[in-house]
Amino acid sequence: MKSMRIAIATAALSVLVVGFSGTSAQQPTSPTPVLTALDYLEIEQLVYRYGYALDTGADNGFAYADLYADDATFTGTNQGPSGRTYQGRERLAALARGGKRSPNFMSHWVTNVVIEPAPGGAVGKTYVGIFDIGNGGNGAKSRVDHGGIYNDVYVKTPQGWRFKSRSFFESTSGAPVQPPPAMLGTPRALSASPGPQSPNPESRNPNPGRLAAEDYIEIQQLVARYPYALDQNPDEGLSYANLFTPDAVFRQPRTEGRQNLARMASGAPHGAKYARHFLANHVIEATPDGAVGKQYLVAVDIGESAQPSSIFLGGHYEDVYAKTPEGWRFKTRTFIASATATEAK
Amino acid sequence: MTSGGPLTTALGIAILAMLALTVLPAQQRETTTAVRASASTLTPLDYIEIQQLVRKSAWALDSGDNYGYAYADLFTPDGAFVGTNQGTEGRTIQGRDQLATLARGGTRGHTVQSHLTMNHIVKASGDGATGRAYVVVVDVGVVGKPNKVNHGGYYDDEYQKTPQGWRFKRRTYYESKVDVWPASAPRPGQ
Repeated sequence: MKSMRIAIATAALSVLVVGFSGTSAQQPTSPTPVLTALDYLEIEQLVYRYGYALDTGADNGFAYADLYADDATFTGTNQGPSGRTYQGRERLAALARGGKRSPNFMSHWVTNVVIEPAPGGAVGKTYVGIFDIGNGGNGAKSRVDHGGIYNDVYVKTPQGWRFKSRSFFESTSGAPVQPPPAMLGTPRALSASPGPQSPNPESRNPNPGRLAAEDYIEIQQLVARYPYALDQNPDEGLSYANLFTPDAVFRQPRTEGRQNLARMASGAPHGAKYARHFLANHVIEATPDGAVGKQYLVAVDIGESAQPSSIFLGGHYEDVYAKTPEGWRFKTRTFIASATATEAK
Repeated sequence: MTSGGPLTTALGIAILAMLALTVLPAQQRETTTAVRASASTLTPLDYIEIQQLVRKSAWALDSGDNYGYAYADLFTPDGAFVGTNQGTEGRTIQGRDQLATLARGGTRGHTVQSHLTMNHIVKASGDGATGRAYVVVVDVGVVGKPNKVNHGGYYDDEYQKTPQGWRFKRRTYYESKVDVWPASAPRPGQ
């Protein structure tokens, strides 16, 4: 009898837990939902996954299609005289496997991601610079192909944040400054979300294998510090080497140990005001041991003294991060040059 | 001399080690301290809001939105932008009207996308936060011109938290410039 009461209580609790989880995963119903730090970070991750899914055509295009909600649309306003809209998983997958695609092909650099809460979820806008990186850039004429913006609507589904709609607008210049309706509201504080004085329960990490907001931020900051340590290199590679764990491995060329990493960094061009390594699309994922990540790299030789700028190389980094007492560090970091020689898998 | 040699060497190594501790790892210690300080004083939402501020500045600058005031309103009332690449001495632009004028100068519009900001680092500081972000300025869709990288460099920022949210207190732009090009590193075009 006692065991039956326990079983009933457990079942009731399970229903409550499932009910609560289901509610939290449904679309927000309030006119202006509150976005937590993790909401912002997860939407940003969705936006950064887009580049990989589109450029690689992974899973026969379905990696791209699955970034969208069931009834979602992509509109290419630059396709044909009146634009073209794609809706449905099959059509979106077909779009993603068309054109130039390859497992290591990198083309869409997405930056300036602005996200705001909106009825039903969130809206956002991003820049996209589309670079034509010819097989890593070395020996090939890499160039800026085109660019523009994405206008997005995001929705929170049981599987996480997804695109509800995404529209691409090609960049053109020459339009006079006019005050057309802003695509997003005026800048304002994120005070609608839990503020600094009210810690966000989601920002703590209740589940191993899931990253807290602080972890995402620290890993973002680790990767953001990398170009400064390499390009500005104020201390003979020491800052660069200290971004890695003592047993870390960098490839290519394969370099192990902080001393060797510092030496490698000092072998690269540098200067107090030098900017060469531009990183975008930083995707971060939790693993049982820590986290892994990847991001696009375009190395630009900014022209000095009226010389033209050029793209030195492009590709992506694949990282393994480890949480140490000093914070998150690279455990391995591998650069893979952009390549178009193979077909999309 | 024979006994003094190793002693002198040991003393020399000790002095070098002390120098190394006081000079070289100073930046390393500073970085570690700053990261720890930031972890304790900036919340994830502070980081996110500062990231959003920096990203919005590119949008506001390229669009010239609201007659340039969308850009100006990202700064504190006494906020300033310093373009170290403007003229021989650089140029400081301070005040809402002046910043709005800057933002509506040049080629602007909702279909202009030119400032791609990346590599944004943020650190807590005594009365707010500081940060840096790379920017590569591209020409895309410019009528009659090929798409290309125009120029680039980085911003050095000071942020301040106001009742309206985080704002730029000071933003300084530095054009990229290389100081050291090791002989073994390939040159552009090689």
